[in-house]
Amino acid sequence: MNKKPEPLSHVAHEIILESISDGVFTIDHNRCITSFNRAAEEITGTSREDAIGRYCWEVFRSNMCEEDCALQRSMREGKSFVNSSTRIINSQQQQIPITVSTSPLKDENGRVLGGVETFRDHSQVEELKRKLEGTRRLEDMVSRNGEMKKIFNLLPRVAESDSTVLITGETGTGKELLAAAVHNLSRRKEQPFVAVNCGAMPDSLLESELFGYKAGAFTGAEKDRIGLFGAAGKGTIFLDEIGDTSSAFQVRLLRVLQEKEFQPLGSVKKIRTEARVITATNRDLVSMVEQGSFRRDLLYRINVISFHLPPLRERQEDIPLLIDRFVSKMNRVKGREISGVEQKAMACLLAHDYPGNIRELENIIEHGFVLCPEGEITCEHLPAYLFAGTSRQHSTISVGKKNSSCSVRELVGMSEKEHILAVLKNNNYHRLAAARELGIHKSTLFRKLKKYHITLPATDGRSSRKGSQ
Amino acid sequence: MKVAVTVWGDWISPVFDSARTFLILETQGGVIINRRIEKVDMNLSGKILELVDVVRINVLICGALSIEVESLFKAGGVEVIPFISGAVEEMISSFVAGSDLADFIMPGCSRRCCRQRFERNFEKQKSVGSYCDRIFENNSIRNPGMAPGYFRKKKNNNEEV
Repeated sequence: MNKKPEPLSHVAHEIILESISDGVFTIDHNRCITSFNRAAEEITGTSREDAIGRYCWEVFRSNMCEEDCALQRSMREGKSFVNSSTRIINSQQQQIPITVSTSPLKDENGRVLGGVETFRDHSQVEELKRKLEGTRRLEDMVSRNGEMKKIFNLLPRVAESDSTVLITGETGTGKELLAAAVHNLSRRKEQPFVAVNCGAMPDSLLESELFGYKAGAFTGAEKDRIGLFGAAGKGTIFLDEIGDTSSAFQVRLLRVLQEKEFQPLGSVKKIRTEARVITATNRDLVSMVEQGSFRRDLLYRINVISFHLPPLRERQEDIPLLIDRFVSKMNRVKGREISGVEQKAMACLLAHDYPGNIRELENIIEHGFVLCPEGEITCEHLPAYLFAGTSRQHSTISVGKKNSSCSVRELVGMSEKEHILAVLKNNNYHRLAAARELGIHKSTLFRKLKKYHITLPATDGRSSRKGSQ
Repeated sequence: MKVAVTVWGDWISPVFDSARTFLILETQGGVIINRRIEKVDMNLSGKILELVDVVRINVLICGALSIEVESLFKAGGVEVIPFISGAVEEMISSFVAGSDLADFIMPGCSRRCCRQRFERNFEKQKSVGSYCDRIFENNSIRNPGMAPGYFRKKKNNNEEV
């Protein structure tokens, strides 16, 4: 006869809890944490020692803590709840999407002693989903640049206003990202965000895509199609490359913006639209109006609020931040642990012009990511064209030039000097503000100013502020 | 100076995004001269606009806050003190008195949030005057980062460094 196996010991249970990738914690009736496993430490960024004894909401920091705590409900109702979705904020100030399951902890008499919660990090799944859907988050926009900060300052107001927005900027500067940020901050957040590249298709196709058609409207129209304005509903429709549209299309679009109605091809009925319109272009629409290739009345309609995104070469201080974001994102999507970019490679990246702007930087980092087996991305992993001497002509850095006398130390030093100068300029040469933005102590900044022989102008941010008082 | 604190009953609200009740304090010379409760039951940008443009707060004290939302407040010129937890009245007394708020920091946050802020504190705390007045004097209130002397480093055994 088979002997019944011995029940697992307390130590064995501990080992099991420590080995799983889901976070697990328990609380008592006062909602104080009584246990906290290794995965819970990793996901929340809080150590077991710091967590135990603290209120669960101080450690877990979830959107549902205040009003809809699943753990409280489990303890109150004596039953389990499985796979509730929520977000937590970890100690790195990152929003982590998770699913949560809760159960009451009971003794042998069925008395509730506390509660147990297990939670799973869904960052990788969400990242892959976003990649498939092409959606963007507010978190994707990061910047330390002064011009970008002005845009961030206006974002909530613009989002709430529902006005049409025109976003201008070179290719790859993040126009769609900004449009999505406006949408995600607005009341339309839960409604669709529909993006269309107006420059990518001929007029006839563009009209049928945007306004839809009735069956039989043209050859191949076998059934009714709703169109993107219809699909946007009460959400937002983003019309990229609006400067590449024909005059005929511009007339149609103007009518839709004026009357808030559109007419599917082949239909006699007009349909009301409540979609908010955001447009973008990399062209100079004012010049196009003067040349007669863009309608002035349409420009007035779409230009109620406008944002201009600076090119990446004017936002050098954001390059390390963006690289960090891209590496983290790629680590999540591909399940790897690349630690970053090594110093010499960073210097090369800082020295480049980026005619393709942020999109080009992301492609470069992805290139490095693919070639780098582990650890840090080095120069060997970066695309060869970065070293072909095609960087800014005004820069004295010659990356990869055979007769260059620049050592690596000089290369990094020049990049740091340029970075410091850019930040000082952004802060009107106010030393304290510049030091804060650089994330260094002001005495460190003074040492660097001396090291790089940077002379500040006689009139700076301090003087002008005192003057204004 | 106007300070907004996210509140949840007697406690500081754990997460800014889900907070709906704000305690608005007006202080002068280290004394609270006015206080009221504001219910702000709006979406995120509505909340930010209400606090920055309508109420015109100078400082926001709250629980967990993502870096993106923090940057929106900072772009609006608001001094942000996130990852604070505990009893509201106790925290307010310490804050207005210019005392160290290290005891109110959420667990697990001292390494990143407070060290960065400590590193941005360029001067030692002055011997007199409240924390609030020092913000005005140094005009740091419209600049990102913490006012001087906001957090002091603590050793593991809670002795001050």
